[in-house]
Amino acid sequence: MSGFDTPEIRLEAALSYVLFPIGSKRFALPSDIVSELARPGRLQSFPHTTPHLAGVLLRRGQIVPVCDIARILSGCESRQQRFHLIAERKIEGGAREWVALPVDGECELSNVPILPPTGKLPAYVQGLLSLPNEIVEVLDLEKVITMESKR
Amino acid sequence: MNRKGKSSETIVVFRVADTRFGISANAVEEICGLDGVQLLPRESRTRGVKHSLMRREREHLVVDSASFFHMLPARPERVLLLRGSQIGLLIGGVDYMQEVSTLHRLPHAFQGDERHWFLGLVRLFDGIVPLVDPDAFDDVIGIAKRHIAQAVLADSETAGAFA
Repeated sequence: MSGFDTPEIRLEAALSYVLFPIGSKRFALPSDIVSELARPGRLQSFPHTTPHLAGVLLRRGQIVPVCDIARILSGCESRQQRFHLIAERKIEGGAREWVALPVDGECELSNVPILPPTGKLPAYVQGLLSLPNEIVEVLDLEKVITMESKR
Repeated sequence: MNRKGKSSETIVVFRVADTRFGISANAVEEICGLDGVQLLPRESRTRGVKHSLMRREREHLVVDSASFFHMLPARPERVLLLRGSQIGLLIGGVDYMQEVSTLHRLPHAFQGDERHWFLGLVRLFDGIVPLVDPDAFDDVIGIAKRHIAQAVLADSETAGAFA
């Protein structure tokens, strides 16, 4: 994990990105915040009013919230949920928290340089990866999750 | 109970429909059946409180847990009477009691009403449950009490008009 504090610095420093499929598209997260790709564990749910949180799961002794970001990224719930991408997000006071993101297939690592977002892209897109036959949006995890919560 | 496991606490694991919750055993005065649970007069009912229970000559207002936690209606089987508050919780069954030593904070990702409902999460031998905050029901009980007082006042005014 990097010790960088600002997204701007991380944007330059994160040399690789984890690409993952949701619906018919692929998205990316900086690899320095991705901890692992895991088979879905036993989801434990309980009542809450936060949108798109599916529950929690136990991962390496930690309680990890499961956030289904598929609705905002693809417009519908993640259906296959073949894996959970475990990523780290910053929370209040500089602390960090793991979050599990259901994804629809296997991931890939890419080292292509990130390009600044162009055109009218959602606020959660921090950059773009230009791959052969594909432009992949690099997500700002915090903004995606916050956007989810506000919906 | 703390995060380093230096002390432990017994919790009661109960069920509302298929969902399990925990509550500190210290917060529970009694677990009883539905005998004596009565519907409040229609004008006194609120969304979360529709019943009362007389127990040891004290009236307890009974919170419907399913409604309180925004769940689908569930068949009640028991009432948890909370210690020192004259509040009852209409629940499904009681599963078991377990001693736990660690209270995990609710992950920051949870930002809704659950932050008021639960003190945190506890790991059981067979899963994870939220630990209900006994004080979470104060607001709904306060509303119910005001509602009942207004209903009584309206009733007495009507009676006065006929006197």
